[in-house]
Amino acid sequence: MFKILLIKEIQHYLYSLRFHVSFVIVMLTFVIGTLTFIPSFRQANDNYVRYSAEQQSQLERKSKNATVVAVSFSTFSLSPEGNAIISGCNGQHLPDKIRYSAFNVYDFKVSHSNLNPLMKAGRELNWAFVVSVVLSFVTLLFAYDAISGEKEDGTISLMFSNAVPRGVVLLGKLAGIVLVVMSMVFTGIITSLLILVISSIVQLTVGFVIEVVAFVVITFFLITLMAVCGLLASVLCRSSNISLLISLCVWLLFVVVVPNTAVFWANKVFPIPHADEIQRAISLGRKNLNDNAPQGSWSSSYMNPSWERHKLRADLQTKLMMNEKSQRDAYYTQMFNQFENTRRVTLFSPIAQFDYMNEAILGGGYLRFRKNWDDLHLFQTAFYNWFHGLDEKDEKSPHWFNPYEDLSTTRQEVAVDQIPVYTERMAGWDNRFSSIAFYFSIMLIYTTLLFGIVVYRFQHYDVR
Amino acid sequence: MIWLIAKKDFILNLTSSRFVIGFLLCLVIIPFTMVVSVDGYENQMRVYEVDRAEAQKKWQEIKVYSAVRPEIVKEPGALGIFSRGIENNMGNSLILRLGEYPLLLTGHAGTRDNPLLDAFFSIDFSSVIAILMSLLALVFSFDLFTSEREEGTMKLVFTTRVSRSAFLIAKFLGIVITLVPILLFSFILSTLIVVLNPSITFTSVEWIGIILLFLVSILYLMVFILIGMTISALSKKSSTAIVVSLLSWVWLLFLVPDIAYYSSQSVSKISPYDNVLYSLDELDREFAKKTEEKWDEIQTQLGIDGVGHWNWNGGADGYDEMYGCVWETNEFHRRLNTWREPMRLTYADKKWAFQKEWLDGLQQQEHIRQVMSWLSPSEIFQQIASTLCRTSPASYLRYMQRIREYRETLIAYFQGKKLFESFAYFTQQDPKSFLTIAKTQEMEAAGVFDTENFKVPPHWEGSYYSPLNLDDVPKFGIPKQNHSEALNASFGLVVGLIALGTALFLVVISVFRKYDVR
Repeated sequence: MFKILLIKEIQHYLYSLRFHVSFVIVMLTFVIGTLTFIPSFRQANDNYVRYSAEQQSQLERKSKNATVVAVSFSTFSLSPEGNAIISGCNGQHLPDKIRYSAFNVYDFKVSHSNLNPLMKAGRELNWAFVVSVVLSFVTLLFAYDAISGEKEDGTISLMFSNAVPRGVVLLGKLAGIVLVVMSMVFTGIITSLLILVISSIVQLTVGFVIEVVAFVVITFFLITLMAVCGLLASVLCRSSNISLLISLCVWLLFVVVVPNTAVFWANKVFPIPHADEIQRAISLGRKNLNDNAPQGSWSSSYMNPSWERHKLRADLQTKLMMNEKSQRDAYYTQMFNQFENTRRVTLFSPIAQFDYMNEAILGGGYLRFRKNWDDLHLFQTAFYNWFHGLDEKDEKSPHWFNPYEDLSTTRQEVAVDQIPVYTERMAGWDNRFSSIAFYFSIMLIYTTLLFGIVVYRFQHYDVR
Repeated sequence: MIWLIAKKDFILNLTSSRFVIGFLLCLVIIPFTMVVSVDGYENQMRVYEVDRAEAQKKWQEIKVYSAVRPEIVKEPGALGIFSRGIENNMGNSLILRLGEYPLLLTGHAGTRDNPLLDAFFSIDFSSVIAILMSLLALVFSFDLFTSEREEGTMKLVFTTRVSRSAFLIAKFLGIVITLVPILLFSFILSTLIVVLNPSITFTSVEWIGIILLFLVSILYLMVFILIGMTISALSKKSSTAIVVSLLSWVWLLFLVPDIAYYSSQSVSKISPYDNVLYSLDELDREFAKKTEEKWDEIQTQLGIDGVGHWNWNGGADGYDEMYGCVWETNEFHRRLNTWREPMRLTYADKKWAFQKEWLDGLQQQEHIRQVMSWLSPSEIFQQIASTLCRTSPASYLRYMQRIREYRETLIAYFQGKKLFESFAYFTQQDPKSFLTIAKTQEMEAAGVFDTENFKVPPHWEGSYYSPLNLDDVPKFGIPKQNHSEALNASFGLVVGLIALGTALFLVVISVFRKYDVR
């Protein structure tokens, strides 16, 4: 029985105008998105290669003097990822550069130097965008009149003149919608993959295939949830016009309204101090330290490392750095908390759940940045220890560690390949899968709850 | 007759569920959006005040002309609350240097304290209007003809002596007068949120800006009503019309802008600014090398084998401030500056060639994006809105152009007063009080002063001097705001919107003339 119903539903949708129009739109977006991804990814890669070469030659210049290696700022820059075609995880709005030395991890920057500052950044045209904006809409468009429409046409009362359980009808409709929408997803993804493989942008490695499969599974659940929302709008109303309006509002709520309120919640519910207040506190601490420093703390003589005053200077510089570091690190923690709390609020929208799941599975976006930020702190300690060991071996060095200047520590040349370099380590699969569990359970609860209401309402639905 | 039908439609619409839902949507979305934008503006204003006070303080402490490098802080415009444009991409301040042309504003980029928050999808008032009003326009117009036909009322209407075009105009007006109140309500609500905030006051220029924005919004609304009517006239069934309408809506509002954005990047490529920086660094190194050579040359001329300083502060872009130095040192710096500062300007020109090329690339790419996004009326509307609110790329580029012109004025001032060749460029000490090396040694031996124990004349210290009077230095100012510039800039787009509306109207009329009302 279920099979007959399902086939009927699928046929009904496949021949409908909405399927044809949305199919064209979805395919267009997939193809254009992929075609624009290719050159921008190539360019990002070229830039990254050039950037890395520049970093390497800088390192070579620095290696003439171990202290310069340790105290000068190094920048770690996130490399472009081929899996950004699945989802960019909002990476273009997130920090992509972190500045550090052997003494401290200083700050992060949202630089994205390949973006045009004269253009308002758009949303990335990747698969996740097509699913979360276009296909979620299309799903609602398929589902809104599944029941109220049939009622208006009178076909639903005809159907129930047969001995069909209502639950089966409902399941048949749901499965029909999900399958039809998923067929668009499959066609789109396969087309996109073909284009990518032909242009040899991505290699079909095991990792990438797992990511694609995981994306399809996540998409399946989002589409199911959206279809349930549409069915709910359909069983709640007598006329399909009203169900359409409700569906539209639901979509706007999930895609536009809830995400758009995020900054509001961040500012009002999870406020953090202003950046310039922190800056003022740092300046004040700086002034205090300077005022209370022993005379001669700022004296220097490059030619004479062992000058006694360099000890004072190193001491003062270390205190100044610690003053700034403690204030900034506390502020960064506040920023991260504010951001994470706000994300929890936006979880109300299934689109946000979908986005965060993608981020988790791809190990990208905020998670990637945070992982690097934390890993860099570990690396910095190792880097410092390396420098410390090097300095200890140098008998000429007075061993007064100054975090900013090349005055009173070893000036020996080091081999470039001896210098520790931070390399990014991607999050492991176990890590990625365990971090989607939370979002996944929320989505599942959401779906079950709403479907429960749909079933309940439909049992009492007046089909006449 | 036209008025009668329009009024009937208006009353029917008022009591419909779509009207109530549309109204509620505005009521929910606008406050959130406006509060965020107002917060952003307040923060921008606060940063502006802090930065300006700091710049002023620095300006008032200047003691030598080589420190005259005005910091320009851009005042945020209150209209940015309504349309953010590219405001979040831009900084708010910059220090004007001789060694480099001002390219883009730096300083606190964006307005949020937590840069991570930019990762959240966030839209401004003009986007809300663009999204909601177009949706409402389509929801009200998609079944304009189809539903009347399905219900059979259309046949009835044409039994009376109503011409088809009159019927069409009446229908159109009916929707317009239904939706304009919602639009008006949105504007009043948002303006109220702004006006009720005590820290924001609007000038008449800003009020006119809001009224113009409102008028353009009505025009935009009409275009979407006409799109809905066209779809309705071309469809046989309401269900077809709604599906086509909504999918076109998603296409026009959510897909075309992004497609234009990414396609423009593929069509016209720009190299990242990092690459420009590599070239600039090279020029800087070249300049530094030449300066070193000149340094040696002047030392030889003066017959000294080193330049010693008693009290010297140095910094970027030619800043030198020194006191208590011997005559040879002062003369050395004077001669060096006479050569170095004009050379700095020459190098600025060389650097500008690279920067200009990059900037032209940006502009070209942005231009392509603009033209491509004209496919969507909502983008035309957004472009007009950001032009009216002075947050468009063009208005930023104009501002930067003004700063570059100001730099020329400042250079002319330096040259006119022959400051590069003067001692005043790096010291306030009276040249008559400069002592030669020989004289200094003689006096030190005679015990007139004791440099070893810091027993020196007071005029050897910077604190002895008061800041310069810089009243005659040209100041940066922008001409008083008026709307003619913004209006001129958006004129073409407004005409485009009107032309699109007219074209759609003609299509609807020609289709409807042949419409089978049975």
